[in-house]
Amino acid sequence: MLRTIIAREFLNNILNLRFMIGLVLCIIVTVACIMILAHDYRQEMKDYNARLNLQDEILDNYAKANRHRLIGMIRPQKPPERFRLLIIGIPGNEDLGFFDYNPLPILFPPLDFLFIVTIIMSLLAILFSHDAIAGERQSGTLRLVISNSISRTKILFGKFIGGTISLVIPFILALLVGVLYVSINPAIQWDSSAWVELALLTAASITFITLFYLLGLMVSTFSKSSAISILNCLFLWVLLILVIPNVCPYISAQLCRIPSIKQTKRRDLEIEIHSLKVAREYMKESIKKFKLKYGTLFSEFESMEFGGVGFLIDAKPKHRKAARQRADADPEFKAMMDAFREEGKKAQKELIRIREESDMLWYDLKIKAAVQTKLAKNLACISPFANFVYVARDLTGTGLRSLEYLEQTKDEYERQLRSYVDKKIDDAREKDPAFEEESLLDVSDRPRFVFKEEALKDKLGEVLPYWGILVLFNVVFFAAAFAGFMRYDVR
Amino acid sequence: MIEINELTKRYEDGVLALDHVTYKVEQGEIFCLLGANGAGKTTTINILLDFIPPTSGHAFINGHDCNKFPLEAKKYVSYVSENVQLYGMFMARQNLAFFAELAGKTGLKKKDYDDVMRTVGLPEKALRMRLKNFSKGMRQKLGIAIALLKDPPAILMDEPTSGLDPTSAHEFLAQLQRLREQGKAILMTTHDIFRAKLIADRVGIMKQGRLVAIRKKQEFKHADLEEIYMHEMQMAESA
Repeated sequence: MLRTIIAREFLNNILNLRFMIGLVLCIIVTVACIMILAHDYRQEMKDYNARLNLQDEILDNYAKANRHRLIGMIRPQKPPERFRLLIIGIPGNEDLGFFDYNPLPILFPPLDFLFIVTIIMSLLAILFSHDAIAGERQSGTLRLVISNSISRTKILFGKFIGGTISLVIPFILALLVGVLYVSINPAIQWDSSAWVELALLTAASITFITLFYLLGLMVSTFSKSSAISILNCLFLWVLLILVIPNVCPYISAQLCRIPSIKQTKRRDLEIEIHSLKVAREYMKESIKKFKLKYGTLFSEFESMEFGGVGFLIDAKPKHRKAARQRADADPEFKAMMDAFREEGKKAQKELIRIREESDMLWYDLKIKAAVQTKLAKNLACISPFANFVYVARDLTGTGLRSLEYLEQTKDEYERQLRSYVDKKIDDAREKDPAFEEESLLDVSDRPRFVFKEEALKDKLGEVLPYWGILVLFNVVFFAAAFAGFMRYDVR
Repeated sequence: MIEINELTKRYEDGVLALDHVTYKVEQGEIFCLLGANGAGKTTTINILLDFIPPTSGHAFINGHDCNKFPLEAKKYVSYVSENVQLYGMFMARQNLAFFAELAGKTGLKKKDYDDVMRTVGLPEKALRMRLKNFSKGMRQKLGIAIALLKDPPAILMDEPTSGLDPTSAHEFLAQLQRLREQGKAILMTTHDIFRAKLIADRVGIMKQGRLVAIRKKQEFKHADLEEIYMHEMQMAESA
């Protein structure tokens, strides 16, 4: 009996025009999206390889023994995400330049797999299910069905299963066409873990699609006509897909207020200016005192272009050499220079002390922003859209978590790099005492940054709670649809 | 076969649709319920099919309480509505197969469909036509075909001749006659006094939820049923 209802529901749906529209729309949009994103992926891969080659060339030929500059030169390069073919990731700083040439991607939402599932498929799901009960009541077929010896539970299950199958078919067909394109494209190479992630992503997408099918079914069991049902469905769709996920960050910002980046940057600048003022005043006073105490000796020293904040540190090597020679020859000059160096260090300390306030400012902002983000993320969980986005993005390494993971791996690499650079410079100095910061350094054996995807087990651990919420939404909507249908007046 | 016992239905808005109604429809009998709109005819059918629960009293089909054991009771009954609505995108055969399977009749062959189409007076080629291209008369006949395929001992018909052209209505009555001969218990609600007189073994006259009279065929065979109906209505009014 259940099979009969499933078969009828399925057949009724696929004979309907909306099925053909859904199928054509899904295939066209998915294939177009994958082709465009695959082109972008290949381009980004090319850029990534070019960046690596360029960095290698610079480091092989121009790496000097200045620790800070060298570490700054070796920038870990991340390859484009392998799921870049399906989902546009969160742009990093280097991607923003892209928009200088084409600002339209900022104006319009990106067309990717997430858009297809969350917008197109969810709307199709509602379109399929909004009249599953109300429409049959209106046409009169429901009375005839229920006049038979069949329970309402079976009818509802049959409608759910048959409807879901007819809805998932266009989606799977479209995805298969896309997957075929990926698998025959030699420029795109996916390992087994990527295919497993794709399978999980498909399963999560089906959970999301059935959720909206059930939403339509639920609304249908509380509506007398298809017109009322579709209106209610669209209202809920807008609420769940558009309103809640967008409102939650604002609510979170109101509940957990933090200064904006602009405000923090302004405050940071104020602190910097203040620190410079304080250090400069301090050095002015010191210079006055030294002039009084040492007279022409200090003037001679001044003419060697020393003084001010950053004493000796910012001095050019030839000046430093001249000062050192002069100090070696004259103990009085040396005493004055050392005393002035101490003053410089004091000023530097004061400057650093004040600037610590700025570091605290950013640290504080980072902590508060993390709290605010977490709050917004948790609040948005009342929307299935947000839960699906978390699952899809975290599973495919295109979300916030992947950025955090990237930062962690970068930090690890930089730690490794620092110890490598220190050792390399120390070794070079040991071998050659005349070795200076400006000397060329061979860093061909440097550790290379290799970005590894986060382990699937860890990703699953992160996404399962959100996936669980999606399943819970399914259960709640089905239970509500069941309750509604048990009391539904078929007359 | 069909038994209505002290059946009462009061809707949530307070309207009393059925007021302690009692009657039986035996096997091989056509019982027509006459009455104005809102008299409670369709409410009776709605309770028999468990579309709505009764406020009090009982309705039985083949001895099964329609409210307590609806699935059991509905095994023994078919329903033909005033305006038979089927799945428009399906062909007639697909509709027949679907409702036959719901009724537990699986594995029907082409011959079974052809036979039932012939019985209800529809051409065999109509089996391959989509329902959206059927006229109302054709849909009513297909409704009967669905009922025939189920082959239950009881049939409920809610204004089945409403909107039918005279030829279709005539064919429909002939069909009812055959069903009676097969021993089916038929409960039919109608406004059509003329056809009720032609086909009914007994008529029940309802007014504002009450069954004001039951007349046997012998009582209205040679009389004007319309006069009897009007008389009973006036009597009920004055009471």
